[in-house]
Amino acid sequence: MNKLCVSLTAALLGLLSNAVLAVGAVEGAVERQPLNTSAIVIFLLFVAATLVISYWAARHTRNSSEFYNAGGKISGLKNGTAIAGDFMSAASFLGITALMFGAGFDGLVLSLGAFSAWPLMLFLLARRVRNLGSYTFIDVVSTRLERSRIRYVAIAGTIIVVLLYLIAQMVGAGKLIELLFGLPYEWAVISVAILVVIYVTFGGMLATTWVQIIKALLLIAGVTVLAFLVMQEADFSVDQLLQRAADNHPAGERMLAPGLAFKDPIQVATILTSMLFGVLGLPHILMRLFTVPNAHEAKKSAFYASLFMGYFYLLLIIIGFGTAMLLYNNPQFFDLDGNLIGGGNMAAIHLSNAVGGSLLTGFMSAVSFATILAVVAGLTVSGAAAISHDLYAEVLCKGDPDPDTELRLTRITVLVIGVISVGLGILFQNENVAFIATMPMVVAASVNFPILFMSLFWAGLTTRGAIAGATVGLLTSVVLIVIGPQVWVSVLGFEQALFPYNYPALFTMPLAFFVTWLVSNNDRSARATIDRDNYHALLVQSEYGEAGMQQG
Amino acid sequence: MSDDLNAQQLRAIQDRTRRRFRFSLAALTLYFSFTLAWTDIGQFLTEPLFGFVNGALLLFVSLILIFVALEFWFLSLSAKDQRRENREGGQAQ
Repeated sequence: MNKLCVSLTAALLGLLSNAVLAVGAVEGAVERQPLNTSAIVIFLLFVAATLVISYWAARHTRNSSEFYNAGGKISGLKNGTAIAGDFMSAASFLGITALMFGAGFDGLVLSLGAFSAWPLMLFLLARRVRNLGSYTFIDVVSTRLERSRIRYVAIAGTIIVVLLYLIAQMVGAGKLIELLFGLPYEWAVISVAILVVIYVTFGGMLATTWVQIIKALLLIAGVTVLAFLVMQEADFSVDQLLQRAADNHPAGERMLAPGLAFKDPIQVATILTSMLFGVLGLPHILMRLFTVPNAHEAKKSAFYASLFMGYFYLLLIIIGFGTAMLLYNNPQFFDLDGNLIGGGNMAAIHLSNAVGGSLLTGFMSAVSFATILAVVAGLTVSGAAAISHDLYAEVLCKGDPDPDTELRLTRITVLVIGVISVGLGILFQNENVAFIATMPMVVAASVNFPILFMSLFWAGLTTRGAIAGATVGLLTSVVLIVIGPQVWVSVLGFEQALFPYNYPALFTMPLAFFVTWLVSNNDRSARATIDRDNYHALLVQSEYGEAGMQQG
Repeated sequence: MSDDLNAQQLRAIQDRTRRRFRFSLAALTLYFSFTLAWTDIGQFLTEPLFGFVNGALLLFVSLILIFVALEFWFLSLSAKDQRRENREGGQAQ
């Protein structure tokens, strides 16, 4: 029973989005592991390869365009792989496996949430976003609305999401690396920041893309081998895998069905909403749509990303249930108190050890480290673009910046983001950051996604409506998270939360849409007429690109 | 000529937009149907179907595969549109 409690505690820490999982994966009983030599060797090989790539990429990154979107020359397949690399974090791998180890089937809620944004990305956004923007999603929303005001709002949305996501990633990274490699927390945070600053400052989006591609391939290879070895243990029978998982799990056959961690369908719906629409509003994910030459390649990117992620999340079923099958009955993975050694979120790493020995453990640990680098690199490029492109070039210089100054500013911004991320990582190391990690997905779903969606699909949208909707989305997200269980109970110590759910996007996103609609409908300003009149041109350009505009 | 082209483009855009929404609605309906597994109505999903594989697990796997199939179908339709437009563009020239 003790084991079940520990596992469920770990699992509940993982009831979170991708970003949140980064923290969930390492909160709770974090216990530094002995130095893992094979992990360090494999990781150093990864670092060496990515540094060589950064050196090569630096020679191909001579202007802002090449910095922000790799010159728009990445193919759909490569970009799809990079998107998968950007999105399939260590948190997905370690956190979802941990949740399944503790709560069985319920862990799959997170897998479905993380995967299902990609069909929507393809159906709704890929083509139109690619045809309208240059470097960031802010380019898209400012196409038809009043340039400066909407950019300020969208930049704020981007920076908030990037910074919160960075805090979650850096705290997660520090603890995870401490856990996996035995490195001190501060060194772990600093080493992540140094590597990311090198990749991004010199190689920009091109280096970031290749870091993400390599990481995606390593992760896919790792989980394939791991799942194969688990299935070998189960004589390649899914039935045997599930039966033995249920036999060994403290909850028995209940772990195969929904309901061990989540009791309420509304709770599940809040998580699904936050994850799906949050992903569709994440600036660093949307930015990847601009790295391909045209809209067709952008759509292919979303499709290939789906294929990789679908495969990954299907394998997580085997790995998740495999942890229950192979770890619970093996005392070598538990300490004297009956807790999983290193904390509940080491389940995937212990499983690697159980089926593949120290070599596979080292490989999976190194891959987990590499995943953090890939995600933080993507966030850093996105944050730098928001400042140097959206704020400096488009707002302050009215779209006519000095190219050298812009590129210099971009690189300085990367450095500043690196320093800030180290500072925040160290500052928040002993804090309960679960609520900070919740916010990026909820804010992205309630601020970025409504503006983006309505600017693409609703002729009646006005600048005033977009700003009002975004403001309401942001404020309600923050307020409901604060009065929700994660802050009101866990941080502030009150007995009962004023709002019962951790992920308010199910409520805040529709509210943001409603306010945007209401204010836009009642907007009689001169600017509102221009905004509405601009829609026709935007529509044609969004479907046919610049060429379509010239023809029309 | 320009007006004709514009009207033609707008019709094509309306068709595509309707298609986008149809696919999105299908994906969202399927996606949120997953919550059924936590309701009383969806209790049947917790029952074993094949050995230890229950309806909820089968639903999860099916959803991922259906989404990929939907995406493939959507891409095929888009590619067909593109080919037709290229053909019509060629004829117009």
